[in-house]
Amino acid sequence: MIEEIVTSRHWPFIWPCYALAIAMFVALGVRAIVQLRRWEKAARSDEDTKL
Amino acid sequence: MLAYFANPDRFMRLSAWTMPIAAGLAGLLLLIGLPWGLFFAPADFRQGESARIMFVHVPAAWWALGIYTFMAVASLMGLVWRHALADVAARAAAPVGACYAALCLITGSIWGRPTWGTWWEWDARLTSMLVLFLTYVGYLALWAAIEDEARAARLAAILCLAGFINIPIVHFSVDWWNSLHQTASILRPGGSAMDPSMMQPLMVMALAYFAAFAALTMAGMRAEIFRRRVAAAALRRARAA
Repeated sequence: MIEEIVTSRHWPFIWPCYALAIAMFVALGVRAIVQLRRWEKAARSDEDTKL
Repeated sequence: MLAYFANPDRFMRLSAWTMPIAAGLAGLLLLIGLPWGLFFAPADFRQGESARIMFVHVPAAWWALGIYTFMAVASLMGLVWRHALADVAARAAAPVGACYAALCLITGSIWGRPTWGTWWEWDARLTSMLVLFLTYVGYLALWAAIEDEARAARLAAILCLAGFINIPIVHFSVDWWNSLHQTASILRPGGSAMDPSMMQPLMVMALAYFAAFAALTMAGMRAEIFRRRVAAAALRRARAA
């Protein structure tokens, strides 16, 4: 069944959509983690934020 | 209820454990839904294997509309009730909605090539979806362009509410105008026209997109609250000096 899908004439249109979706979620996730760590670290190291 | 969640400390305590759960759920559902849609769901009798693009395209379209609606509600709450976290929530949701709208447009264009014989057509559904994406970009640009945060929040909320008129246009465009795009096959009078063998992976993917949106928005909100606390502390120090 998988071989039938990857050899179909539509495969060159299908896989880029899935690759793009995965890349988007990875990029959004990495961006969220980087931003959150940056500001959480800044807030925790700043005594005046009273965390 | 809304007043209960308007407290940033309460939100931080709640999101400290709900955000990892949402992120874990999103990862799990994507691990199930992506291979299910790509390899194990049946091909469409008319469109063949290209219908597999539906499992990444349709949830992106649904949640691009859903996230904008969430932003419009948050903007209204911020403008009318001065809800303390409303503008934070709308701002954190916007990049996710913009990415979903972009994914919907790109995958729709790729799907259009084998199905309609064209990458793009200026028809009502495609054009109104492009307008939605541009509204997301304009909303984010407005936040970035204005230094005074209270003014930026107010103007961005007004822009968001003005742009909300496009949401019913996107949804009903295929009914109101002749379009290359098919009419609604799930949310329609008389019930869904989709077979459960395709509906099940589609629902898993829709839940995955929603869980990812929830996790990413909570992460963005937490980062923004931390940033505002650092900025407020710096301001207090500057005033005291």
